[in-house]
Amino acid sequence: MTDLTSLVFFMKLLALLSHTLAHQARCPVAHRLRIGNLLLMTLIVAMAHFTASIYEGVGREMIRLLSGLDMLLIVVAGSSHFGSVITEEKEQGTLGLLKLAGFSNLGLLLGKSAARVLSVLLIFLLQLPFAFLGVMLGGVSPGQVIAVFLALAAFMILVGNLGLFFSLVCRRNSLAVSLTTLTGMLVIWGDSIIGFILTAGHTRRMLWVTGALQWIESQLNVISIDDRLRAIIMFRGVDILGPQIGQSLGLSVGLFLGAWALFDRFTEGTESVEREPRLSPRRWRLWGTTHVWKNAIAWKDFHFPSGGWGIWLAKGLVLAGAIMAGMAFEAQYKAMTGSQLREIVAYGCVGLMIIEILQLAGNLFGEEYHSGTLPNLLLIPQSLSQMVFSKLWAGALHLIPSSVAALAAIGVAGKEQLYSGPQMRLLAWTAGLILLCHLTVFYSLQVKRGALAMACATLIVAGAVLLPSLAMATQMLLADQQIPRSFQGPEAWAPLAYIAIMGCGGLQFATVMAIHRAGEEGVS
Amino acid sequence: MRPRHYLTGLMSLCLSLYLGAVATAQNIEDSPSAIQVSDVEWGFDGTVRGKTFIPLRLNIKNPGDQGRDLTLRLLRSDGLSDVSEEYRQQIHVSAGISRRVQFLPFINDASDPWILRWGDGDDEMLELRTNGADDGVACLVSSNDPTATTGALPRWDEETFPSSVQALDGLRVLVLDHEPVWTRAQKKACEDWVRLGGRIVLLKPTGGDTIPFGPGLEFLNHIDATTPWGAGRVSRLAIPAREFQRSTIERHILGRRLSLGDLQHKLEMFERNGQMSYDRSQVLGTLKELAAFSQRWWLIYLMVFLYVGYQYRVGSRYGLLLKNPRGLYCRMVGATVVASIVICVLSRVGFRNADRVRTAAIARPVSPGVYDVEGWATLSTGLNGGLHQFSVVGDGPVYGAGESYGQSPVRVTEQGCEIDQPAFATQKMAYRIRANLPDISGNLTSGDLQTTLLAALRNPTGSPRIHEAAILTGSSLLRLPRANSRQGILEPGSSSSMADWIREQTVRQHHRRRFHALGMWGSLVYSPSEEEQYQMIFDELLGNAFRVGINVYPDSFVVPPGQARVVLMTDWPKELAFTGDYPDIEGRMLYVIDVPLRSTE
Repeated sequence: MTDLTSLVFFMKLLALLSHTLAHQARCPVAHRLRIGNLLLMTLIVAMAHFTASIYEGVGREMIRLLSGLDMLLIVVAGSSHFGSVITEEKEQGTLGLLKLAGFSNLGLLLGKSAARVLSVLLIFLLQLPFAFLGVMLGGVSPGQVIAVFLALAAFMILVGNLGLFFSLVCRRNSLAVSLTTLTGMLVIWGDSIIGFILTAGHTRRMLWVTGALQWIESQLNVISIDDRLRAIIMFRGVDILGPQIGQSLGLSVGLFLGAWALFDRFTEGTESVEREPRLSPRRWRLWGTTHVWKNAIAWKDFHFPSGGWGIWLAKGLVLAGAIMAGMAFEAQYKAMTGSQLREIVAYGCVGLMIIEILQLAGNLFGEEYHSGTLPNLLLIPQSLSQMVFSKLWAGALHLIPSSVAALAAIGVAGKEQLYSGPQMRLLAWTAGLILLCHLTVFYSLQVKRGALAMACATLIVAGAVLLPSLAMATQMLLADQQIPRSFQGPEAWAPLAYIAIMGCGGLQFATVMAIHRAGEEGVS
Repeated sequence: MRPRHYLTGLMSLCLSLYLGAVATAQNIEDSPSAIQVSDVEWGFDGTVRGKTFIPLRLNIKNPGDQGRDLTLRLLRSDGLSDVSEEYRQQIHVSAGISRRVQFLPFINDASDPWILRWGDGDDEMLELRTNGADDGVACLVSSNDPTATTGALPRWDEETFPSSVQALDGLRVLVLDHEPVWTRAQKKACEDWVRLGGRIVLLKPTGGDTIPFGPGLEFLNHIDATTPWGAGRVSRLAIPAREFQRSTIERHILGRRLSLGDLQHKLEMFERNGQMSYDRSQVLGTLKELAAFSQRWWLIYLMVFLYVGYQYRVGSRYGLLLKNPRGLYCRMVGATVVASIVICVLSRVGFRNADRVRTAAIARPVSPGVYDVEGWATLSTGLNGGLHQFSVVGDGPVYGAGESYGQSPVRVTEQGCEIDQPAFATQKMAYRIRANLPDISGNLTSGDLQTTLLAALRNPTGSPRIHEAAILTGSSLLRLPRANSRQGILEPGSSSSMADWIREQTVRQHHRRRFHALGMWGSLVYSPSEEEQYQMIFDELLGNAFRVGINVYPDSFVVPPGQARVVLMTDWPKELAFTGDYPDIEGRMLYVIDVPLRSTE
């Protein structure tokens, strides 16, 4: 009798998990994702084939590329996937329904979280034979391959449980995903960042801070997947089961148990939580919203999602204050730490500007699409291009404080102090940012959440695999042609410009089609 | 139309544009009146070396109908942008005339691309590719005998012979069969160059036995083959220019360059004398090519496509059509496991030994320390002067391109020094093993040191077993002979000697090339044994240590007078059994130890 009760308990516990897995097994998107992953691996093998005649140790380089790509995809795309595990139910108001269906808290957590972790694990597991090809290609042993995949699996489980925890604690999806991404990045690069801070002497006069940071650094050093992967690939003597795996799994279990313990507290009263209208005038109105501009779309975009003149002015004042503070305390800070405060302020301003640009790209049509107002917007007697220009104009207006501050901060710090590398690299980064914006706009009309993460993942994959493959294919096809191999002038930027223009043009076209489709669906 | 169809169309358009662009790509053709640059010649024999002044000669032709004043700019590029290193020259080229121009740039890295500009336009530039030579021997013949073939040695116009000793930096040997008509500056440059270490070979002139030299070069009349002139030497060969061969220079004058044709001769010397010339770039290049890792790519692609096809079919059939998801997951995971096992097994069939070659690192800038030669590196970087990765188990400097790969047990912080316990433990272990090596720390003479190491080398029961040993001093390298190698310690399979083995592999290499022309089957022919590969590694280590070490890291490499640097390759110590996860692979430890030498006087 007791056995039967236990069996029923476990069946109920795992009911949601098996249901979700069954659903994912039949999901065409998941299947395409798996096959796309395998095709990507095939492309990586082709790259290894091409470079095998030039370099030795191709297998190791292949594993290095594969593991780096997986690590970035886990932290960028995986955070978006895992970070929405509970918040999507909260936002849709379906969490109460699941509870009413008789699922226990543990069953809910397992069904929602473990299913996602397992489906992503399967995707990475499918890469295993390709990784073992690395042994054949030379440069890596089977033990190293297994160690790499175990480390990645432990990291993914950790990110999955971080996402579960933040998804439970946060009310909004965007916050949960952001916190998961940020924490995932800290797990990867936290020790390096703290090491940089300590080495630069930013905490020289604050011994307790130094001590605390050193302790955190030592802990992050153990759990850092980046360090672990480097160690595995570089040294053959690394154990298959390193401390990173144990710590990651231990932390994952702790996060899962914490989420279980806090489940009721953070999900009570969320059954009927409606999504807060982000376009609420009351939320953002400070002043200046009474008179609608002639360009109503720009007025709406500037005042509501972006906050209007109040936020604009406040942001400008804060940034101006930061720059002035950087100038005023420069000497003092340098004497104390030996580093330049102006550089930190300049980097901060540039980073803020990039974040704002990406945020604007995500909200350009995504806000209307998700709040269901896009079909109504399209009914306005204006052409789509006029609407886009109005939205871009509002965005540009919104960007003025951060962009002016970034320019001023760069001027104060000195351009050479911030960047002294080749001009082409700067151009490539700029082109990459423009492509990222286009991808974000496109994905914001395709996915419910995680447009920016999807865009980043696409760019990472394209940058790591597709573009090098294209370059190799061109080199092979034009092997007998006399190509100017100089990296100067048009020969240098023409391929970059071609790829950027073709990519942006294609994405603009696809975005327009997606907008029209959304409009038609809304009308029907 | 649905967006997916638009995207498909868009991707097709991009692909068409790309393929169209590739298909219509053509060689760049200059306009008829554009300046033409031709006959670009780097150095004295078409090759460049790093850290050297190398002359660059080229022809500038003006096919237009008006004369042009040009400002030629020779720029060094780092691959992405111009480096602030520029050589300018202003010339006038008359209409329809070509003119010879010479630059004298300093070559920092032989692989750096250079660009010649004669205007700001995009079509007024030319990339000058360099042909790097790791330790090139530049020879020069300035012969007045037009029938002399000179054994493919490059000729140099007397008129354009450099007039500064700096420009002769890349020249190793100057061959003369007559007195060249030089200016006073050219003669002075020649004399200074000989004083600084240049070598001159005087051939038998046409219609006489010796070349009578006039003012400026009369010092050549008073010296013979063994008389040094400063740091340089002048040799006389009683053969005319038409019978002169390049190999003569290499064999008798330089004694350093080893071509494949001389390989047997050198190896015989090795067998006879028990030591070998330290610069063996040709041998190493051949060995590198022999040991190149060849894959059966058709097999790899076959496996990949079978695997992807199966996963696609399983996913679509069981996932999308069937209701039971368990079959899908089981089949997917099962296929993954089976494919992994198959690939693992295949990777060990015929590939294991070649794989091991690739696992070997070369401790090129040899500094005192204990190196893990099982760490990953590339043979090509070791050979071609690039940087490589290696781990230092003991203490000692770590070199790298802005990145250190070694783990130092001591970490300096603001508060003082911390000791990284795991690294420290490894270091202690290394020193403990070091204690088992033959005792060479005492104040030995050079002869005692050789005797001690030879005894250790020939003792197969020693722990750890020593496989290779060499002694480096400030001016020489002695590779200790393994006289009992025929008794089976390191004997590479059926070959009776290293010379036989290399000859055999050279023949195999030719066969393999023929096989490669037919397909990928050639890779099945050659598979060096494990010991052969370690031998190669050790050889490369020595060659690179001496050659590159002096050129690139002079401060760190120089062995002070009264000291010797002992290089030992031993078994990988069992105490550091890091290969537990892959027991098939056995490593080698490389010890580099500085020992003081007692004078024999």
